[in-house]
Amino acid sequence: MKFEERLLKIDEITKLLESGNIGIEEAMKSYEIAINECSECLKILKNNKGKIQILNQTIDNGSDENGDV
Amino acid sequence: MDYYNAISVSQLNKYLTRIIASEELLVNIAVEGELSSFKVKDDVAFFTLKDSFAILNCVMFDTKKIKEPFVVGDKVYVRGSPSFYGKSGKLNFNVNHIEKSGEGEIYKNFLILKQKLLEEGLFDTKYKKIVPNNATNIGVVTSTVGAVIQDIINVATRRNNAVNLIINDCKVQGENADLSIMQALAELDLMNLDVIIIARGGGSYEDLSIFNSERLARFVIECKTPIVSAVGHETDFTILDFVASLRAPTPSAAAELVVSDVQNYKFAILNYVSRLSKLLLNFNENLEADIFAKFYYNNSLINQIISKSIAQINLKQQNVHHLISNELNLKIQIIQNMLEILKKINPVALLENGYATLFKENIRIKSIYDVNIDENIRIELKDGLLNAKITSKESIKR
Repeated sequence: MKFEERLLKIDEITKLLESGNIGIEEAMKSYEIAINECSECLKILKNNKGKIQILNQTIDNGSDENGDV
Repeated sequence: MDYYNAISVSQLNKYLTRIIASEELLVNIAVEGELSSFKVKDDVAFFTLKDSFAILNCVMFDTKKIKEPFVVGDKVYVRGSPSFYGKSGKLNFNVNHIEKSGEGEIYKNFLILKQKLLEEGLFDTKYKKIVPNNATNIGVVTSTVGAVIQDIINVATRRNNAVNLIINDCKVQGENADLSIMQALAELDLMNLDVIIIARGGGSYEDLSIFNSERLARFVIECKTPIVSAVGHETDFTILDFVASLRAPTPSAAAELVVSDVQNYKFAILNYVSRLSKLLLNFNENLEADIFAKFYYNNSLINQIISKSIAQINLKQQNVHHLISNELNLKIQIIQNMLEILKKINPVALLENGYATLFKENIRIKSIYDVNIDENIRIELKDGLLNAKITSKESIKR
């Protein structure tokens, strides 16, 4: 499942529990799912590492650029 | 070749300084040009004047003399004298007066092109694509030399370490730099990225003027990926800014705009955790309260039932008790009555009343015919016996 989907699920469950329209067994089950998703999301945030690629690099491109940011 | 007469750099620069300072033709002259940069720092104004073929570095120490605001592109007259600084080997034009002479050529061209493209509808919102604020696959069209690319990498990865950055190196100034940018853009546009940033650091007005390229503008609106323009400083505007889906004030700001800060996600998730935990606690507390309420209610119900039952039992017991005692009393009464009767018919009791019992040889005499004249009999009275003899008989009719 994608990170955003997990967040959405957590949000749904939280709102459902907040509405109170749920029995205790289902609430416990949903709670467990949501907490698991939370820890999964935190894990993803911690461990995911992106890639940095440079295409077509040449030495002289913009080397005379004297600008700053 | 002989070098015996070679002079030092210092000697040459000193000489040049003297030559320029002493040239009367160069004292307090007027120069016309277009402002291609303008900066004021610590009450000193630094700016460059240019025309189509040359550039002149200017400095103005007395900024109080600047009577109006100047921006890049302004066509100006300046008055002053050039001076050569031997230490840096640079020539500066020391300005003591500056005034506008009309709009600059480059700036005028920029405005004409802007108006043309505006009328053509190239700046319409229909060409703007939605720029994600949480992009993970990001293309960057820029020069890999210089601080800009490092700034973008730093900002993007600091905010979210999971972003993929594909940097396509290109020329960002000079002849045909716009074609180089278009080439890089075209390659990245095929890669289904979330967003593409076109970036360049600050520079002089003509350095940035490559981003006023008409063909680049037309190319950008044809791209299917959202494009963010991030050229120069916040005050620099180019045609690219108007055709891009989003204009970022600086390259770092572009990275900030398209990469969401993971820290925010972390806070959001921790917030969910705390909300969920509280919810479950409430849920349990409510349920507990509910159960207790039911328990107490049931308890009181049961207590009521028990009390009622006990009361009923007590009542029945009393009734039974009552019935039994009535019966008993009745029986006792009967027995007592019987006893009374028995008491009354007790022969001993008869003796008490003066009655006597007669015996003939221990057999009770019940009739006058049980004995004969002169026979001895025994009379039993309450307090003893009498011996007697029958002297006569006489029957009685009853």
